[in-house]
Amino acid sequence: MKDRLMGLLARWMVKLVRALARMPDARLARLLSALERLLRLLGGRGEDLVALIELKELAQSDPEGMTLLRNLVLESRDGQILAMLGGTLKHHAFGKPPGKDLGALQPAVRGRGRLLRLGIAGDHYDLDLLRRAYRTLDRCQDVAVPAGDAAESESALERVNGLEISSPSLATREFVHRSLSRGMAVSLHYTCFHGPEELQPVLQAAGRNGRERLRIFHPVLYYPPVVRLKSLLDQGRLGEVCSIRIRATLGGAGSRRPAEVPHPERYLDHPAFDQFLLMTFLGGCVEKVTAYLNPMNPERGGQGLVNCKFACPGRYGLLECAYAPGLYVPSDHFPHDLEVEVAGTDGVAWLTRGMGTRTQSAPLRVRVGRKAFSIGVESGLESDWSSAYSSAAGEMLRMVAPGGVRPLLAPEEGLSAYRLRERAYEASRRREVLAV
Amino acid sequence: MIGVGDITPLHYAAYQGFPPARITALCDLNEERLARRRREWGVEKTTTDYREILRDPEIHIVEVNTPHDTHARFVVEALEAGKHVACQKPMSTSLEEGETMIAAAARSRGRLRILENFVFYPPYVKARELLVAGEIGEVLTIRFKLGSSVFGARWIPIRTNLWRLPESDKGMGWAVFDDGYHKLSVAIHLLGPIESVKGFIDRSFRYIDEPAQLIWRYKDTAALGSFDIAFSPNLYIKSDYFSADERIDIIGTRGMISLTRCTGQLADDPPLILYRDGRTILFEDIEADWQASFTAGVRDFPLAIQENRETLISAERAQEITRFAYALTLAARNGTEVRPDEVTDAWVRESFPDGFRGHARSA
Repeated sequence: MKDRLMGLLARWMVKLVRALARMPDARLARLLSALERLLRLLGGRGEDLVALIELKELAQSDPEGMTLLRNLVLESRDGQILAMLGGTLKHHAFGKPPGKDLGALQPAVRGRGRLLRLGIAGDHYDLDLLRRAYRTLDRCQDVAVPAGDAAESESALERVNGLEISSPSLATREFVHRSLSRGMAVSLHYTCFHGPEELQPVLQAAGRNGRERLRIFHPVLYYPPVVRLKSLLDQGRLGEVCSIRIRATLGGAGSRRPAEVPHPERYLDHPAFDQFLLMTFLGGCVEKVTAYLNPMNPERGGQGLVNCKFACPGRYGLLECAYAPGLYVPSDHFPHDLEVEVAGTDGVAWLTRGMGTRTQSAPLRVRVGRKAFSIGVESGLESDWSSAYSSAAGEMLRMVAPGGVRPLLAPEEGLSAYRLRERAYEASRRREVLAV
Repeated sequence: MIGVGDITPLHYAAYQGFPPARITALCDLNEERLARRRREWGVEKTTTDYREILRDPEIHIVEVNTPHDTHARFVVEALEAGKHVACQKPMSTSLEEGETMIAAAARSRGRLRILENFVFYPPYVKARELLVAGEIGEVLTIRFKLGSSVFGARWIPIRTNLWRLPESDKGMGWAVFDDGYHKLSVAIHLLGPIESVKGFIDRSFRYIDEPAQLIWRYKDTAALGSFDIAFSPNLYIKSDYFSADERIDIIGTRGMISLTRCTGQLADDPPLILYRDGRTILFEDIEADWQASFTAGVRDFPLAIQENRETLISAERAQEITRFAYALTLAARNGTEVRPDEVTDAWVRESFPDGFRGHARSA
């Protein structure tokens, strides 16, 4: 009900603004004069009314200027007018706004539902971290699912109700279909597929019911600062989001474990640079893409830029990839430095870290209207990279519980991300802007 | 000075306590503004006729600080009168005008420079020193960010910006071509000429070319650049000048440089941060007031004349920046990759036909 009323009010505000913009200059000047007198009576001072006074003077004496200002209003999107009005009222018109409770973070793990008997198939760094996260859950038993032996794999399936797969050989339509048919939840590591043409048949085989228990797993989507950032965006805290920039830099030192050197040409597939799921998670569907992708050299490094226009009007994204072999990025995992900046009509937010810990600043820094705040450990925001795996493990537990929750990301969104990645390669080769 | 509008108090401040040059005459069509500047600045000679300035043998340097589409006329006439000329950016509103200005400078005994002050901004000057010294190795990417806002700075009269609005219909949007000129100038100043560009430019409130997301490739280095323009009208950005969040991030093979402010100050970060070899070095004591860029930039021209040396920005470099700006606008307009070398005025007019159908500028 409240949302409907707010929507109605918003529509009327836009209509009012457009009606004022259509008013003849003389009438508008009289209206602004009257408004100025009223505000002065209410205690308004000269310096507070300077914009109103100037507008009144323009209406009285500058018809060409007024035409330009009219065009400014009448040829804008409703959303822009609303964002401007709403943000001004919220952040500037009435002094400092009251603080808003961001709400308690959901714990990454909840012990509820029946025991998760987990099959883990494959061999991947992320899977090791997931295994460790699952082992901390007292309602989980894990069962290895051999990737090579079909009979043993089938046998293992009978004993599990949740399945983590990182092995491409098991991420097949048949195996996934059989697993889902047994009623279990299935998590597919995003590196299982080289492109949308490999994921598509798996989704089709899953069917409508099966898809609700199928997830595409990418740790960055479960990383608590990313989850919190997404929450800020969904709540409209930054207003209309217009810009999303993801900077992914792979260093050459700083962790015990060396990073895999990127492929010279197909480096967008490298986990350090494959941030397309994150891009679509934060910004939605991408409509167009263009790119410059320079080759990467193991000794000298390399770089690529992927530029996106989202389907949402007025929203753009940039994925900046850099391989810097001489760069030291301290990390307990790989020397990968991740930074995300999201800007909207009302504010800007920065995610300052991911796997690497190059900076000690709070993981999330936000500027909205007149407010500036950081979200870190004192707000209960866990920022260690391993917390992403705890969150993901907890989600699996909830997926197999009675009533079962849907995964964070619908598997179709995984398809969008793979498509976007492939189109980026093609856009760079063809030196064109391509529709996705 | 020809033109004593909103930006010129920053010029005036630069000449204070500067023996090599002083302001001796002012010219503007707006008599009320002219009288105000005369009182505020204590300059005796004022006129509404710029030809009086050009005829005065006691005047050596003429500053052209007028609306963009008048630059060429004033610059050419001042050069033909034998004056040294400093023209505010952007240089001109067409490549043809730019060529005319360059040709006039070649014929004249006077010199021509285009005043683009960002290249003189102390944190940017320091960043360039660090790059040249190889502190972060070979540059991989450079990113410019402009987040523009309405709140946080002094009130800028609507009239100051009204005349700029129709320029957007001609491919000369405020964010990419006008204010963007500063960022594009620094982009070339730091890493050299541009090979090709592409990207997206949107429109907000009809005339404002924001948000935008633009990328380019350099000619002489493998580095890639980007310009991210965000429309954040309700974000409070503290500033004594314009409410703009301006950042530059440079990633190199060995380190990173972050420049966190210019005209506005969104956060309390140091103006320049260097990261290398696992260490973060904060340059907190570097002068970061935007006025400092005007002081250094304005003063450099008279000094360069006296010392018979080059100064920034040359007319040829300014023409290159104009090409770069037009290339970005054309790339976004036509959805293609564009090489700045291939930009022509005819192509611009073809791509923005409405803007060139006799649309009159506000007087």
